[in-house]
This record gives sequence, C-alpha cells and structure tokens, in this order.
Amino acid sequence: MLELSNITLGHFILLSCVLFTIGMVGVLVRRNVIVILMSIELMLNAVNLAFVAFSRHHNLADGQVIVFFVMAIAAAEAAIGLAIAISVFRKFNGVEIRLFENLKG
Amino acid sequence: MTTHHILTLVLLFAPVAGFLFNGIRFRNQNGILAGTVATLAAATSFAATLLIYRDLLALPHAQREILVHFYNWTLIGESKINISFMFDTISILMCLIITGVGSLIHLFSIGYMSHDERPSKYFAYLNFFLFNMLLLVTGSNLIVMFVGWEGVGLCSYLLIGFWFKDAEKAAAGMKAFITNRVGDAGLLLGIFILFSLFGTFEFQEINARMIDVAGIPLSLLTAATLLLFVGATGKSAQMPLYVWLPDAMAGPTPVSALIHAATMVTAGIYMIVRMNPVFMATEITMTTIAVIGASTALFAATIGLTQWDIKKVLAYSTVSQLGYMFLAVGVGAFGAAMFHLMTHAFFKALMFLGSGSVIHGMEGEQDIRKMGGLKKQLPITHITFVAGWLAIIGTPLFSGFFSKDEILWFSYASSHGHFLLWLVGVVAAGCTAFYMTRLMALTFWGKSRVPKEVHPHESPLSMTIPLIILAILSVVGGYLGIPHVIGHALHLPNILEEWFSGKISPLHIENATTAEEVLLMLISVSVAFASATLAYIFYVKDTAKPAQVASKIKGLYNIVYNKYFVDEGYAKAIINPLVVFSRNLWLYMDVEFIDKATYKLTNFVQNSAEGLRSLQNGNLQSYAVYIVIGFIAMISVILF
Amino acid sequence: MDIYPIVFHFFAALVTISALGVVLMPSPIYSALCLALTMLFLSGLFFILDAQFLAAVQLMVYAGAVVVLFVMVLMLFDLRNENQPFSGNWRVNLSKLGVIALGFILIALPCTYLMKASNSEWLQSRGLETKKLAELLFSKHIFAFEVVGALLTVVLIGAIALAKAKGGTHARTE
Repeated sequence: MLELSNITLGHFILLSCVLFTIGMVGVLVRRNVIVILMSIELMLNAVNLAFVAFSRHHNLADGQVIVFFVMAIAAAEAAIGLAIAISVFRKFNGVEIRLFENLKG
Repeated sequence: MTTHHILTLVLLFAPVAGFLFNGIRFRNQNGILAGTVATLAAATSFAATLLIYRDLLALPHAQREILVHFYNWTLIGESKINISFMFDTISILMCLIITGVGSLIHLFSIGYMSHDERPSKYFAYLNFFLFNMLLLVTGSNLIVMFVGWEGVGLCSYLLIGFWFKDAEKAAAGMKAFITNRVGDAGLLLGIFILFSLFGTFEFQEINARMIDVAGIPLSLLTAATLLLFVGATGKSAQMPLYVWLPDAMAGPTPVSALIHAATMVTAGIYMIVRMNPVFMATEITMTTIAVIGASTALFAATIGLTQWDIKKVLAYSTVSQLGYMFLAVGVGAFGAAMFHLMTHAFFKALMFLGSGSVIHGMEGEQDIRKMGGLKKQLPITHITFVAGWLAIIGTPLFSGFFSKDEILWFSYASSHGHFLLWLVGVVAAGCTAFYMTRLMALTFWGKSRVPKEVHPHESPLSMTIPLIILAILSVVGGYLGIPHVIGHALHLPNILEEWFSGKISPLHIENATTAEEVLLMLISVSVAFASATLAYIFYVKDTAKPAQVASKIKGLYNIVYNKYFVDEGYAKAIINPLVVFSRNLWLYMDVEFIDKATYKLTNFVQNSAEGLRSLQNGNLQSYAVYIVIGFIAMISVILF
Repeated sequence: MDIYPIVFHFFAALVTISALGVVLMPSPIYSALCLALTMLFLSGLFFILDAQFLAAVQLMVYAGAVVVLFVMVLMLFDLRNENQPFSGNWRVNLSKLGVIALGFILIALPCTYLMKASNSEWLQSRGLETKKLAELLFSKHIFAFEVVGALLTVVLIGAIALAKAKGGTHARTE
C-alpha cells in the first residue's frame, strides 16, 4: 500500500494530512495561547504543501498563487493574534487558554 | 315595515328601554322614579298588545294570525332560522296576561320595594323578564322561543337571588337556575329531534306537517315530545323538577307573583299547547303528561297542608295548580288548560300580591302562626284575598270553578282520560280547599296571635289598586269559558273555545252524557265545600284540633311537613355524589395527573436544556473539538 | 539510483519530527524553535516540488519573520515556569486525540489510492517557473493581489492599535 520508491501525489498529500493533524492536536491540547497560534501556523503550512503538490501535479501555477496569498494572510493573522495575546497578557498576566472561559453558559 | 312590525317592536322593546334606563342607573335609590318608568314600559307593552289584539279581531275567524317577519338570522343547511313573531289566538292571550298582569305587578312593586336599597336594579330585572317572556310567547319558531325560555330562566335566577347578600337566598336562585337547566337539556334534545324530523323550527310548518302523521316515525316523535315535556317540567315545576319553586319564595313577593304564578311557570303549558298537533299524535307522551300532572297536583297539595310560611303555602298551591294544567293537556283538553292558565294567573297573582301586602303590613313577618285576625287591620287586602280564595277552591260563579271543573270533566271523559285521573284531581281539589281555607283562617280570621311589637297596617294605594283589579278579574274572568252544559241552559257561548277554535281543535267526547257531567260537577263542588268547612272548624272554631290530629299521625305528618324529604333525597342521591365526584376529579385528575404531567414535561425540557448548557463551557478547545467532530460527520456523509 | 525518493523521505521525516516537537515540547520557546525548523524543512519540500520562489518566500516570511515575531512575543512574556503544558487531564487529551485520529483516518485513506505507481510521471514535467507564477499573479489574480496589499496595511494598523499601551508613546504603563 505504501509505495516507497515511486513518489506520487498521494505521498505529498499524506504528508500534508499528517502535518495538519499534528497541528490540530496542538490546537486542541496545548495550554499556552502562543503555542496554539504556532500550531495554527503549522496547519496552514500543511495546506500550503498540499496546494503546491497539486499545482505540480496539474502543471498549473494557480496553486502556487494561492500559496502566495495564504502565506501573506497567515503572516497577517499571526501578527494580529500576537497583538491580541499581548493585550490579553497585560490584563491577565498570563496566557493560558483556560483563563478565557467568560462565555461559559 | 308595516304597522305590525312597529307594534311588535314597541311591544318587545318598551320593556327593554325600561331595563336599560333602570339598569344603567342601578345604584340609584329613587324607587319611585324607577318604578314609574318600569310600570310605564309595561303599560306601553300592554297598549301595543291591545292594538295587535284589535287587529286580530278584525280578521276572519279561521285566519286569526299575524306573522311578523323581521329577518333571516342564519341557515342550517337549507333550513332557515328566522327572527319572526306570530300573533295568533294563543299567543295574544298569553301576551295580554303577561303585559296586563305584569303591569299591575309593576305598579304593586313600587309600593312594596319602596324601602329597598336597590330598587332600580329590581325594576330593571323585572322589565327584562317581561321582554324575555314576550319573546317566548310570540316567537314563531322554536329558536326564538328558546331564547326567551333561557332569558326568563336567567331573570328568574336574578330576581330570586335579588337579596344576594343572604347566602340562603342566593342559593335558592342558583337552585332555580340549575334545575331549570336540567330541564332545558331535555328541551334542547327535543328541539333537535324535531328539527331532524321536520327540517324546520317554525311552529306553523311543524303543525302543518302533522296532518300527514303516518309518514313520521312514531318512536322519534314520542322521544321528541317526551324530551320537550322534560323541559316543561323544569320550567313549570312538575315532578321531578319542581323543587326550585318553593325555595324561590326567597325572592321579593311581587316576583313570586309575576314569575312563579302568572307567567314563567306557564311557559311549559304554552309550549305544549302551541305544538298540540305534535303532542296529540303521541299517546305515550300524553299519558305520561297526564299522570305526572295529576300526581304532582296531589303531591304538592298534601305538602301545602302542613306549611307555616304564607308564601310557601301559595308556592305549593302553584305547583298543584300547574299539575292541573298539565293534566288537562295530557288528556287533550288544551283549551281548558289555557283557560285555567288564565284564571290561575288572575287569582294566584292576586293572592301572592295579597300575601305581599300582608307581609308588608306585618313588616316582614311571613309565619302564619304569628298572624290572625288581620281582617280588621287589612280590610282591602282581606276582601281581595277572599275573592282569590273563593276562586281557587272552586266556588261556583267564580273563575276557578269554571276552569277547574272543565279540567276535571275532561280528565274523566276524554278518550285520553281515565277515571283514576279524575279521582286524583278531585282529592287534590279537596286538599286545595282545605289548605287555602286554613291559610285564610290562620291569617285573617280568628283570634289575633300577632306579637305585641308588630302593628299591622293597610298598604298604600299603589299596592291595593292592583289587588282590587285582580280581584274583579278573578270573579268575572271565568265567564269567558262557560262550559256548554251550563251555557246551553243560559244561552251563553263558550267564548274561549270559540276563540281558540282555529288553533286548538275542540275535544271530542264520546259516550259521556250531560248528566254525568253535572254529577261530577256536583261531586267536586261538594268535596271542596266539605273540605273548606272542615278547615274552618279546625282553624277557627276548635283551634286545638289540628295539633291533636297531627300528634296522632305523627310519622306521616313529619314526612309531609318535611316535603317528603325530596330535597334531602336529591342531595343524597345526586348532588352529593356529583360534588364528591367533581372534587375527586379535581384532586386526582387535575392536580395529580394533569398538573404532574405538565410538570414532567417542563422538567424534562429544563433538564435537557441544562444538559445542553453544559456543552457551552467557555473552553475554546472543546469548541474546536466540536468543530472537528462536525467536520468528521460531514466527511463521512460525503464519502459513504 | 533515483535520488528523489530519498530526498523526499528525508525531508518528510524531518518535517514530521519537528512538527511533533512544536506540539509536544513543554517550553514555548522550544516550540517556536521547532516551528522554525519545520518551516525550513518544508521549504526543502517546496524546492523538490519545483516551487522555488515559494520555497524562498517560505524561508523569508515564515522562518525569517513570523517565527521571529513569535519568539519576540514569548520573550516579552518572560515565562519561566511552564508548569502545565497541556490543558485538561490525560483522559480528555486522549479522547481528543482519538477524535482527531478518526478524522485523520477518514482523510488519509483516499490518499492511498493516489499512491499508485502509474502517477509518478508528473515529476518529469517542467512547466512551473517563477515567470509563469508572476504572469498569473499580475494578470489573472491581480485583484486579489491588490486586496491582499490593502489587507496587510489594515493589519499593520490593527496590530499596532491592539498591542499599544494606553495613553500614547510617552504615557506611563500602570
């Protein structure tokens, strides 16, 4: 099932899936908000890898254009996320995810 | 819009105008103004009735009816329910009695209710009653009649419980209404069956269809008429639904005179007479009516022998006399029943008003053991009461004699009649004579047992004038219906029989001779005379005798004095089980079952909401898990 | 011997290990450093996928700017003791792991179909040059390009506004 000598599209996609799930695990189990943001970056990168692989597969550059934009957006989002984390840190003096349960029903 | 339309509107709505005028001002204490307006309203109705009567007279004999149609109220399928009124020989007589006697009673009430705290309310109710009663008798179909029927029941309740602050009086009002309602259930069922048989509510059409009797299933017709009769027993206080009438004496005395003597209680008789072709076709119903009428007459008369309240004696007397009227319709003598209805209205209203005058003069005392010798202090009341007394016991030449005798004769001689019915009627007549004479003796004659503090005085003119008028009518009213056996000799016609001949076919008597009639007449007169003399001896001459007799038959006396324990029997058998059942229904069904079921539902909703609420714990990461779970579910659906 | 699979597996293994490092390292600084490593190896993967421009941009933007930003913020917080790296107890985490594993299996299974030997011709084609990328970016996707530029401006202002201390540059912080 797992072909090791001929690298196909499937290999890259599988790798992308693995990276994505690792990132998701990070989002769900880590306590520190910054680490969660880093895990989100990891997920975005996994998606980037998938896009590039598909672009290579179909021989179209549009995939790479998408990756371009994703990178820009991801960087912007990381910046905003960190800015929020800073203002949160000023108020609560800690950045644990468990501190922000105010919307508890 | 013919003159008849206008006259009908005046007839019906003059009392309504009085009702509105007094009703809006019901807190007003000016009894004279309220009473005058009410009496004028009643008198206006009487005037309108007279005008219609005059128009009716102008018509030829066989076509004496005026149908006044207003509009078509609604349709049931293809059958119309009209708002229309019929003035024919039967209804115009009823209207004359209602408005005439009613006006006199209104006049009497002005003096009687002069010290009451809410006279306007009283007169409003009285006028409203008049309106409903007129609706009842002038309606040309069962629906308008039923509206009036219910309306008079309502007014009866309002007026009986007029002094509602006294719990007993209010309870009497409720008893009247509820008992009426039980009868009304039967009435409604009867109306429905009639509608299903004939497809119409109009009296004219129903009676016309009865010519072709063979085509109508007899069992249904019998059921319908029996149910209508149940309604009549409720309204007209026959067995088993008579129990409200004695209690109804809790209301003001003029109310007893108007409603429970002259008008409302005669509604049942009116209904049966109006539909006489239908009733004549059902043998079983006729026999039932006759038997119940006769037995009620005797039953009530026996109770009347023992009562000490002046109004209760008159109440049982009314039940008894109504029994006579039902006996008459039961044997097919509809004309005789109407005749007795008319004379009874005169003398019973007279006697009720007279008792009202006595109560007014005695400043509220109603127990006849505390009266006596009042003929000196209340002369006019006494003379008029004597006229009523002579009429009711059947003294020849007075009105009661002619009407009661005709009933007794027909109960013997008619093809629907029976010797036993006549016998019961005669015994009841004897009892009537006895207790009425007893009443007269204990109230007006003999030694005075009036307590020292009470100073009886004669009533004012507004109260004695109606008494005088009614006394005159009690004397001469009988001459409208002189039976043939006497009339032939004196060449005087039976005016009433001729009057009704369009609507009520005269009863055919076979195999009965004039000699028999005269014999029976003599028997009933002598029985009455003997009873009256006996009562006179008991209560005027030898006053210790009644107590001696009562002590000898103590058990029987006790039963009769306690009205045969009928009320207690009803309470035990029907009312208490019903109350217990209702209470249990409330406790177990409503509180335990339904409320608990509702709480179960609400608790379930609350608990599930609590459970769902716990999902929202504020923890971002668990929300993310939910997103993943949702995503997995979606993918599974797409893939598989 | 074909070098391509060796390079791929090499980079793939390293990427996976450093990704695991990001998630599992107790200290956030170590996580950030592992993230930088991940970006690096991912860039290598981009290279062998013939996306040279993107590989370079990945190195510059991600490894060079984003991760540095993360590290700066972490330094600002000055967290000494990371007493509890994972939120929730081990049962909760295990169940979350289970859920994600389920998701992974669902997605990854179709990938096995894509791994057939016949699909490997793609590595021979040569059509994706930077020139092609630039042409597309400035013709077909020009609108998105401009919008992203505007977005970056807004983000710039927003980040400053969010992270600013109260009262301006000369105000004292409480």
